[in-house]
Amino acid sequence: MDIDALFQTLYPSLLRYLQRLTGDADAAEDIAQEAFVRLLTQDLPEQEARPWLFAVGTNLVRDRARKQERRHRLLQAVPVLPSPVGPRPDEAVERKQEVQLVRVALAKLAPRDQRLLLMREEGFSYEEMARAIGVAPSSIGTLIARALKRFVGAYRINEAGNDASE
Amino acid sequence: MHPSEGELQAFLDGELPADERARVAAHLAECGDCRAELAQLRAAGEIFSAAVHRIDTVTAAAVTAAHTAVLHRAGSRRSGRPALQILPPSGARAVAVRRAFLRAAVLVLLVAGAASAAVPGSPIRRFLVGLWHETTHLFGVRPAAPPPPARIRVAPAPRPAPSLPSGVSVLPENGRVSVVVQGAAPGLRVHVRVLDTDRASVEADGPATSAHFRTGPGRIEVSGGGPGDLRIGLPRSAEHATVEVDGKPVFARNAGRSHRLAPADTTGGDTVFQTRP
Repeated sequence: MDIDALFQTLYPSLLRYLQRLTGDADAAEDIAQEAFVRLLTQDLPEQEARPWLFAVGTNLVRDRARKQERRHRLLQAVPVLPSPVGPRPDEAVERKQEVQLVRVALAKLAPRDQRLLLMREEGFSYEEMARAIGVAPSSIGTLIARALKRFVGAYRINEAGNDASE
Repeated sequence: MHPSEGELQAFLDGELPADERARVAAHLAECGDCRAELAQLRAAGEIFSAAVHRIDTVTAAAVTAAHTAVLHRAGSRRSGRPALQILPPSGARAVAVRRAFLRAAVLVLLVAGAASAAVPGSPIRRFLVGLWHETTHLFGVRPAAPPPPARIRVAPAPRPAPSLPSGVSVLPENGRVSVVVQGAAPGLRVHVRVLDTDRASVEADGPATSAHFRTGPGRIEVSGGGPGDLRIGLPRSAEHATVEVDGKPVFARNAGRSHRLAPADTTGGDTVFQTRP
């Protein structure tokens, strides 16, 4: 297995998933690296590396949240957008509000639903998602549809509240 | 019978078996209620995708640095080489034997060195130092480098950045494709054009050729680069295509219609967005 190619293929997707899941860019980076370090000690067929990495990454997020009792803070945290030129103050405020809207709406979903929607964004199949969360593949469509509606509902309410307060 | 919302979602995601897909498609052709439900589900998916893209902070530079960090972390932790590490199988045994000899030699030197340490400049000490050099020379191994820090945060990569491709392209994933430009230089011109091809593409001109490219399923990420021109081609056949610059969607294409989401000019068929100079 070509580790460099595997890293270039899977790491950005894993990191993006973990950043979205935790809302904490540093924690996501730490967990993504840890998951990859652990992958290097495994003897897995290449096609199993991706679901394995995402499962380990998700478990590490859960462990971290449980041990440090700061899951709520992780979900509320606002990541800093890296930029070579600093945004203007009004842009920074606007961006912070946008990020906060998304994070609050995501936090309204059950952890299983967050995971499903974020895995779907990374191109996982229903079969893979079903294995990851331990349900029948035939139920994934329903779970995704309901989770999406729940997210959009929460997102729009937050958006409307934000507009009203401006 | 109407398909369930789960079946409609699976239809959208391309997850239905062919026969069920045909049945749902035939039903949709006849049922306005189900078409409306399908449109609602599609819109919800697009809202979710656009929303989570807004909170992304992954950069190509961070990925490059993390690669190095992961290898360091793995190296500092393992006692043997990782199962997936690539070494020539024929040389692995010889390397292991040389390392075992070297460890034994170092252990002897440490014990003896400690005993002679109380006598600065003693012949034993000089002898041991000489023996050390001779041993390492004999086994063809340089003295061990200081171990890497146990916990390496992402730092500027010691390796040079990947060489620049002149352009990249990807196929849409489940009918979706996105191009994300991060760290855009002031004055960068982003040209967007819808093309009759099956792949999304990005090409850089001028100072923008110093940009770095990364691709994933249905996704192209461009980071850095000077204030030149980025030419983005989106496949007309994609169900959903987006272009995002520094966290903000600037162009979207849904169900065959293009939407500008930021001020732009039109030049020779291109929609051109320019970052603030």
